[in-house]
Amino acid sequence: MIYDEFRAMNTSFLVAAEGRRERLQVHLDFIRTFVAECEQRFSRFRQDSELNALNRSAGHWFSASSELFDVVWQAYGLHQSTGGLFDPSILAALQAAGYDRSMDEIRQAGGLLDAPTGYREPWQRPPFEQTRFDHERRAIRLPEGVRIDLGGIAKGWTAERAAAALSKFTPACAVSAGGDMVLIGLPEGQNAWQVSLEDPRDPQLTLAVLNLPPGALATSAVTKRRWVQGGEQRHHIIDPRSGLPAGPAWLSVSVFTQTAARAEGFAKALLIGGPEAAARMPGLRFVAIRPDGSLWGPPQSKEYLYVPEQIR
Amino acid sequence: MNHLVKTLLRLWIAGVSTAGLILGWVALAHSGKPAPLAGQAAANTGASTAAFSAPQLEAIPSLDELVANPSGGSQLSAPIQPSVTFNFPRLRTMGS
Repeated sequence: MIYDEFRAMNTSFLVAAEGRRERLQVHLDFIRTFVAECEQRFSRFRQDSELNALNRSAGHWFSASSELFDVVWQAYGLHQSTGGLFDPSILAALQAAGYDRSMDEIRQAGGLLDAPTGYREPWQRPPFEQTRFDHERRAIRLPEGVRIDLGGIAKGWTAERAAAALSKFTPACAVSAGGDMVLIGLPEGQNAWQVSLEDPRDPQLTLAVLNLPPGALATSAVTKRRWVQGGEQRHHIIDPRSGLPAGPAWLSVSVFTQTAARAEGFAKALLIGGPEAAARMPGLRFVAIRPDGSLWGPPQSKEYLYVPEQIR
Repeated sequence: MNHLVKTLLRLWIAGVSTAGLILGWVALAHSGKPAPLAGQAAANTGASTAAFSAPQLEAIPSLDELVANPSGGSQLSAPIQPSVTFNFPRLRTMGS
């Protein structure tokens, strides 16, 4: 297995593929270029991104690229499937909480931000489900006053497209965008992909190993992107019901399913909604990590979980 | 070949074979083949594996001893934390 690791979309990308590096290098280079193009398209931190152009057009029809249309359409579907717990229209709340610049910039400032000035508007905006799509013209109309952030779903979509492209040249590959990954085929001589499950309390520690068939895995956590705003702890998982950082029962949730977008959407929804939301999603395969580091999940998740003796 | 010579030849072959068997057994018994770490074997197979004894090795200084009495190089200011020996998969999920 060969690997390529690089930084993009404010996170670490890891590409793994079976084959010889000299034969695959040109395709690995293509993936880097492709990911850079996706970042330009989907980033809310780049003023000239297509996402920001869409946001500025709220209330009007916007002719979208096939890529942007696909991601927003998938986000819309996940918004419905998760009962609104997954909601990309929380951009204003994210910015109000302090996430108005990239996480790299926040970390460079030591994670300390000033308290917001001025009156904080009550959290209300037109429902995201009022978004309209014209598939023939490939156009999107966001409700007036709505701005969206594609964040994790865009990373997952990017990983999925990159893996699909690479899979034409290798029997097995994986593309991970900050831990949200797409797995195609199987590593040589193995009957599963092995993925470390990081301890959300300490990135140096591993809580378990996931043995996974081909598919997609996404993890949402409240500990990775954190900062302090005006003396108050903040993180990037906004509860769309309150417009504030969620106060979840779990520190992280990892969902395994068929597509990266679904994995990302359901991981976020479960992290926000907790056990009550999980009860409404039977059949979903996930592993949640409690504040004490213990693992929680439905019976169907056990077949994927392996805890090495050293860390029991 | 007369009967005596044949007998002596048979005795010689048997003796050499027996000596060879004994020497071979001795060599294998003291070959110093390394034993897998019980924990690592269990981690790789998912099943518990009883450790078996490894040949005696020369005493090596502990990490604490190295920190307290460095033989050349720079003085370490804090104890070294031992690393986990299990090779966790490189693919890692954490919530980005």
